[in-house]
This record gives sequence, C-alpha cells and structure tokens, in this order.
Amino acid sequence: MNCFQARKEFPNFWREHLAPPIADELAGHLECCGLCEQAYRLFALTAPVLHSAPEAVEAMLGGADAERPARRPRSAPAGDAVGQRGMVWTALSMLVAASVIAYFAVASPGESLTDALSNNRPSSAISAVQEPASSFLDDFAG
Amino acid sequence: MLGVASTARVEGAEPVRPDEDLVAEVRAGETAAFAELASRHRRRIEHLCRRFFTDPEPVRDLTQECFLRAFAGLSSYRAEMPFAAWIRTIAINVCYDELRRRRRKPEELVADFAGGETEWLELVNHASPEELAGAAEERREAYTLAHRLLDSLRPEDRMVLVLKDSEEMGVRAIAETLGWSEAKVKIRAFRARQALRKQASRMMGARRFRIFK
Repeated sequence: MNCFQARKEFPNFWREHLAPPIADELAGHLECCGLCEQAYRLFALTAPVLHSAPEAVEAMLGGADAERPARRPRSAPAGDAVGQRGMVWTALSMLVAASVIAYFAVASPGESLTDALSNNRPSSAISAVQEPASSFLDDFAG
Repeated sequence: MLGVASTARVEGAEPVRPDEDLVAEVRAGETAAFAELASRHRRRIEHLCRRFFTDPEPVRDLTQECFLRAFAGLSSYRAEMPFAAWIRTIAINVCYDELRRRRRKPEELVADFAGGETEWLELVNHASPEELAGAAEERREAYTLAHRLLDSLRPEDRMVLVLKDSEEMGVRAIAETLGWSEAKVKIRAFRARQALRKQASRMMGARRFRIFK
C-alpha cells in the first residue's frame, strides 16, 4: 500500500468499515510512514464532524449530554463556585444594607439652626441652639 | 444516494411515491404533500447543517429555513434534478450565508481547553491508529473540538472541505453548486487543508504534540 492509497482509505478506516486484511495493511503502513501517521492524526481531529455518520454524531451529542456537562471555559467558575460566590456576595450586601439602615435609624445627625427654624421647632429648642450656655465674656466676668 | 426516496419500494407495503409526484401535488395546491417531502429529507438536511454548526438550535432553525426557501421557490424547481439534490443545494447556500454572517474565531483555538478536550487531544496524539478509529464515539469533546478547529477557517474554505470530504462531491459539482470556477474550488481546497494544518499546529503547538513535530 502506498501513501496515496493509504490516505484514500482514512475515512473507511476511521468508520471501521475496512475489511480486516486492508485495515491491517493500512495500520502497517501508518507504523512505517511518519508522514501518513501525522496526516491520519490530523484527519482524526476533524473526522468527528467531517466523516462521522449521522448515528455516530447523535451518539456523540446524545451520549455525552446525559453524563457530562456542556463545555465551559476554564476561566469561568464552575457551577458550585458560582453558587458559593453568589451567596457570599448576597450576605455581604445584606450586611452593608443593614448597617446603613441601623446607622440612620439610631443616630440622627445634628441639626443646624436653619434646619431647626425651618422645621418650626419650639422656641426653647431654638434658643438652646442660638444661645450657648456660656460665652467667652463670662470667663472674663468670672 | 440522493435519489433514494424517488424510487424506493418497501416489500409488502404501498410503494413510496416519488418526490417529483409530491412536488407536482404541492404545485397543484395540495400543500400537505410538502410535509411528506419535508419528513423524508429533514434528517439528511439537519445532518448537513450539523457539519457546519454545533448548537442544535441554529441547526434546527437553518433546517427550517431550507424548507421554507424550498417551499417558496418550488416553482423554480426543474424535474431533471432530483429533489434531494435540489434541496441539498438550498441547504448548502443557507449554511454558506450563515457561515459568512458569523465571525471566524481563529483566536479561540489557542484559548483554554476543557478537561475532556485535553484528554481527547492526548488520545489523538498518543493512541495507535487502530485505537483512534471509533474512539470518538460518545465523546462530545471530539465533536466540539473538531468544530472549533473548523470554525477557524474562512467560510469558503470550510464549505469546500465539507462538500468534498463529507458530502463526497466532486470539484465540478461543488463549482456548479457554489457558482465558482473549478480552479477556484481546487485552490480553496488546497488552501483549506493548509489552513487546517496551520490551525491545528497552533492549537497543539503549546503542548508539543508529536503530530506537528
């Protein structure tokens, strides 16, 4: 078997449709001829799409669907990792939100005079803001 | 191979009506006959689309598109060409349009591989040729990796490879189907193999596989 004949038989060899004597002859040729061996391995890379029978393609698609998950880039996190990471982020955001709510509920910021006036606060409260308990003159007077 | 439905007869059953009769019925206004035509050829057209696209959804959509175009253009069908060949031509053109619409992805080839794909690459590189034959069965990775490799080719290169290798069409038939010259088909086939080898070499290069030493 020469290289030309060998390469012509690649598709049948791939589909295991070759009669045993020819398949053995081809295998023998691939052992001796490095170029044909390389060509066969390159052929094998595209053969699942270019040379597979419909039933074989269905077996590849259907058989794998049940057992293996769909392809995922290595850079993307796995399913469990997504769940764990999502939970951590949710907990963290809830914690931050709770802290903010608690801060504004408990500690109200100090009012300025303008705020107090515009809110019609009682005059005692305004005077408390307006007139400090002691002025620097008291220090001199004392 | 293409005209099986035209002449096939099943023993003990009613003879299968030729495609051309069904086409005549559809033309006469019996649109239900087109459902019979579609059911006869759907699987083969779907399989042809699968040579170009991995995901089942676009494959289904394209198959449907083929039959819609066939139905719409049934008046232009001439009986000298078997219906199977005619609808295959439509499918080839639909797939070619879609291939051109999509972007090539040569850069994805050198990106990361999933675990199963690496295993398959190892197997392709190290298994004996006998072991390799049939080893791809029930390996989705073999299928997806082959698609990734083919996705990196130019649409016309991929088209020629599929028609020549998978559909076993001759240079003249490809030229007629795509409206190219025979010389162009030959050149594209040669360049397609060159490009495939180069892309495979890129893909495997980092791993120092012996295929492309």
